[in-house]
Amino acid sequence: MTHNPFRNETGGRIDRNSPVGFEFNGRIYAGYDGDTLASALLANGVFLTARSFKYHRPRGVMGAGVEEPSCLVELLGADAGGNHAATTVRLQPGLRAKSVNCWPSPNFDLMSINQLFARFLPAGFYYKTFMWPNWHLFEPSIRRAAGLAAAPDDKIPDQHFETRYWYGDVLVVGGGPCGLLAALIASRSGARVMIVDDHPHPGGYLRASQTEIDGKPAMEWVAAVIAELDTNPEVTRLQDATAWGYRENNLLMITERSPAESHVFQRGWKARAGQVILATGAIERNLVFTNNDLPGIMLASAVQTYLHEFGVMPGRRVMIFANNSSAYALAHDLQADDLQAAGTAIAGIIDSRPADAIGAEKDGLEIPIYTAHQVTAAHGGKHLRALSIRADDGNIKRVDCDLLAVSGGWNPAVHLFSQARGTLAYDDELASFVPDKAAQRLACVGAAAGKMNLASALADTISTITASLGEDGFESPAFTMPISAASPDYHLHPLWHVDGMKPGDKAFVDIQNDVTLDDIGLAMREGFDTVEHVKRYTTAGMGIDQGKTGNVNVIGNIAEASAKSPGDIGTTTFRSPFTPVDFGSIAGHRNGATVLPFRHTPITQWNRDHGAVMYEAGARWQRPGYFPIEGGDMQDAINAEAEAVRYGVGVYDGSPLGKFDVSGRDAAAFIDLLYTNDFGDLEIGMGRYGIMLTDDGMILDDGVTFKLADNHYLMSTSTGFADLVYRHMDYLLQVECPGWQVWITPVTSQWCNATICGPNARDVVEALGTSIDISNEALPFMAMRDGIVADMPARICRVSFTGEVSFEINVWPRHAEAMWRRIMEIGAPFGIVPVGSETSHVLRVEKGFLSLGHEVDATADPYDLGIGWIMSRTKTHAIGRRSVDIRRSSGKPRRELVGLIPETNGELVPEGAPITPNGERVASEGFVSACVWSVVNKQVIALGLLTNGRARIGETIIIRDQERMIKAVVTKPCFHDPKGERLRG
Amino acid sequence: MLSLPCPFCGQRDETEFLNAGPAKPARPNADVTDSKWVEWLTVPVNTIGYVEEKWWHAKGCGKWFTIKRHTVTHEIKMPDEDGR
Repeated sequence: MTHNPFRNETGGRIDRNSPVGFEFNGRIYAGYDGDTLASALLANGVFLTARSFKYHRPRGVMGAGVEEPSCLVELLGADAGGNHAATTVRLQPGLRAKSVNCWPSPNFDLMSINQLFARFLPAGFYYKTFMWPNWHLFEPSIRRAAGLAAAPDDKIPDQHFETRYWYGDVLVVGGGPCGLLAALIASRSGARVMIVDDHPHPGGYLRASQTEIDGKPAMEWVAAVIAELDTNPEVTRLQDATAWGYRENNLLMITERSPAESHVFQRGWKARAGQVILATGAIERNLVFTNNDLPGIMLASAVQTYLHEFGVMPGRRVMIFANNSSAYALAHDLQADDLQAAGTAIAGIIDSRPADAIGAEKDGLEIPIYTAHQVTAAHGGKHLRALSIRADDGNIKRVDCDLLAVSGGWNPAVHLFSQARGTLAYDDELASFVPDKAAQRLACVGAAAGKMNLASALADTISTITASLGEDGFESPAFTMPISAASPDYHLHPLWHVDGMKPGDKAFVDIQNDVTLDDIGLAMREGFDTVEHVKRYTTAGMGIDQGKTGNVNVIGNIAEASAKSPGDIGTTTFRSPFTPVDFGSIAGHRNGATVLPFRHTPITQWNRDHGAVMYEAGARWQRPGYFPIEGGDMQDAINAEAEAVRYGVGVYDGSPLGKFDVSGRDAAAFIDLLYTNDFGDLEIGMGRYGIMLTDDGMILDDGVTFKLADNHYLMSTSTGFADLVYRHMDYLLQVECPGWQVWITPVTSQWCNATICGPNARDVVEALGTSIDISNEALPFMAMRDGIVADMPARICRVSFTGEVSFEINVWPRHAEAMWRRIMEIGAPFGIVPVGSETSHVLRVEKGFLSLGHEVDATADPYDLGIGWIMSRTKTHAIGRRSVDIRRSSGKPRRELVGLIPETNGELVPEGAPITPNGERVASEGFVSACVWSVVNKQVIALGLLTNGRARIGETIIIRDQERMIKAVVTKPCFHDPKGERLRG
Repeated sequence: MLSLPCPFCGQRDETEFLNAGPAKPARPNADVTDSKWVEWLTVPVNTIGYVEEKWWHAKGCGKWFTIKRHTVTHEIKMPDEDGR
């Protein structure tokens, strides 16, 4: 027999035949199937379940659902996840959980020493205290002390996250009476419907009340509605699923926590509907008095839920403290004979309203009602033991109790409405905010719309949904209104806080964020007197809570202190997520390479087989960085590869280079528009280097374009910028030049190339056997020819990014690996080596060739980079030309490309290191764009951009590498074969 | 995530598209003053209300098109829907 000392003999919707074992903070307990972690803990008499965020005060369970502000747990093992409210965690066999914010346990919490220092931890404490010398010094230890749960370390075994999309006509959020009714009517009209409910079982507040509908217990009506919805194939019903984000164009983000499929841990839904019905209900708010956070103090609605849903009575001697009529329903429930017989004593109701304001809700109650009384303080160490209550004549008396059910009124759950950018209005009768103007196609019904009486809320739901379905062309059949028993009208007197606190007393307005009434006062005294400022200064309403239980109390207290109406104070922005969400449920299957797949060339496997260190080299292309050599480090390997290219022969896989086939009647004119230099006199079979600018005169890309025929070009782009160049060209053709006949075909993956480079490159190509005359006369630098190489169809291009003689052997992808193997085999006697991207970088820096993202950033223009000749004087129409001219006409000094020879002992200077005047801590005058060990110069060389650099050649400048000063001599930006004789050879 | 009306494919989720910023008026002629040119280049309309935007159906049909999007409600119209 499961020992649950606070479980009633009967009652509740749990299965008493199915005990469930679980672990909490290292101890083993048992509950029943149908419990939440919170209800099982309460049934076991575990009331102290958490420590508070800032002061580490003892805390227990306060709520029964998503509103729970204090009992946050971290789930361990197979269910790993952080910051779950214990009230939303379904009890499952083997569940393991621990409290957040306390170490080693909530009963013995070492951090609770913070309480002793509480007066040093006022609002804004962190902002004020840790300004000097620098916040980052203090951040790690503060985060450790104040943080919530840690993220789980391990992947979930045997299960995975999943994402699904849903598109339909009507999406109903909330499975209470109004939500069910809306879904029912919508489904009968033929609409495609989704209904999302964050409880494991439908019914909403009906589950915790004694209400009748159509003369039967309300839950029988719920069962009939569910049965009908579930037989309709156009209806998707999600239980234990929270709609936590309301996005643009009626898209809702939903996390389904317990999908039917056992292999799915959680399912994230992105659901888009023609119209959304928000039946999200209302959330009860707390009352603000001294020690209102003590374990044993719960929301009245939560006590009702524990009683009716879980058969748990979390106290023996109960008091109720309310400022409204709704809490009386609990008093009626607690008078039940079986509860009284089992030893529950209801000691009375403390109602802050005067006697004449209390209506029919009190009829039939046989307990003391302390009208016009207030609770001034709760007493007890780790649990509630007694209350001080004060009559309106000021007399205070002490009442013993171990459970206080509080009700400060109800806040319509407007979170999703507000996320959808709807405006809120303050309702004086409810003393809360209700939906005002919607900004999307949605409607609120029931308590979410401020309709607190069941009968009128149902009637309102029918007219709302019928009208909005009609707007979308759905005809709802005549519907008979379910008849619910008349319930007493909801009536409330706002009570924002109980007066008469003594210094040092703590009364919490926001329990989760540990924000007290004093903090609000302090913020306002210090001038942070608007609601947005108070929120940021005190952190009230932030984090997981997002103002569920505390926000309106914060606003009410600001209003009271500034003698305004809460409506004039307004609310802060409600942000998503409404409840904590596991990142996994947003990501679904998309992680790592499934988000953005890697790109591979046909040589990848060969590279791996030969030990290459592979990494990304732009646009997700996986390339070999370098090929490690025995007995040497990375630098040795790079040096060996670079020396092979400079003095022998090397080969690299140039396949990732972006390539576009440009053809059509207006192709030549289009190339002319794109590039700043002239392509008009380019001969067929020849290529030319060009620079492309954006309209604002920034360099978009550089590369070589070959003319294949009249109005037919092969354009190459940088690896990382091919997609951007494509977008640029497509935009121009579709938007700005719609009449032009130009076809762009991306052929990056249709042509693979092996680039053979070095003084012996021509010998290797000869040895491969080719139908193409590769003599320098027949195939000069920048020429291309089609033919046969090594018995395969191929195109040879003579382009060089290394400064040596280079032959790009372009072949179809299906021949690429065979060609590569032939080159390695035939090239072996010539000492050919494969070259990785690190070595390519060294070689291009030695030559001073540009690299986008290094020298070419969003500030440099072609003149700055020493290639002003590329800005054709006659081509004023080329894109970006005018902007460059305007910018340069200001005459302001420009940063210009230079070479740098840093004085280091062979150490490289980090790329990006700033150059400052005289090395002082002042604004930089340039930066190091690339730095390598040069195998031809046998020293460290660098490229950089330097203000007026070309006029400063020979000068010594100073590079700052954090606190280290490095002198460097300014040179021309070319360290090898400045005349270019080798690459033309 | 917006839902965007591709003129070719119909209503699709934003993830299929790339935003290309505010739609600009037609490129000015070469003879405009420098200040007019810079204004065309750098001054986008930024209002509370409908703005015109360029989108590219990059992961779909490849169509470039212009929409009017309300910056508060994200309501989307085609530019010709109000008589333009």
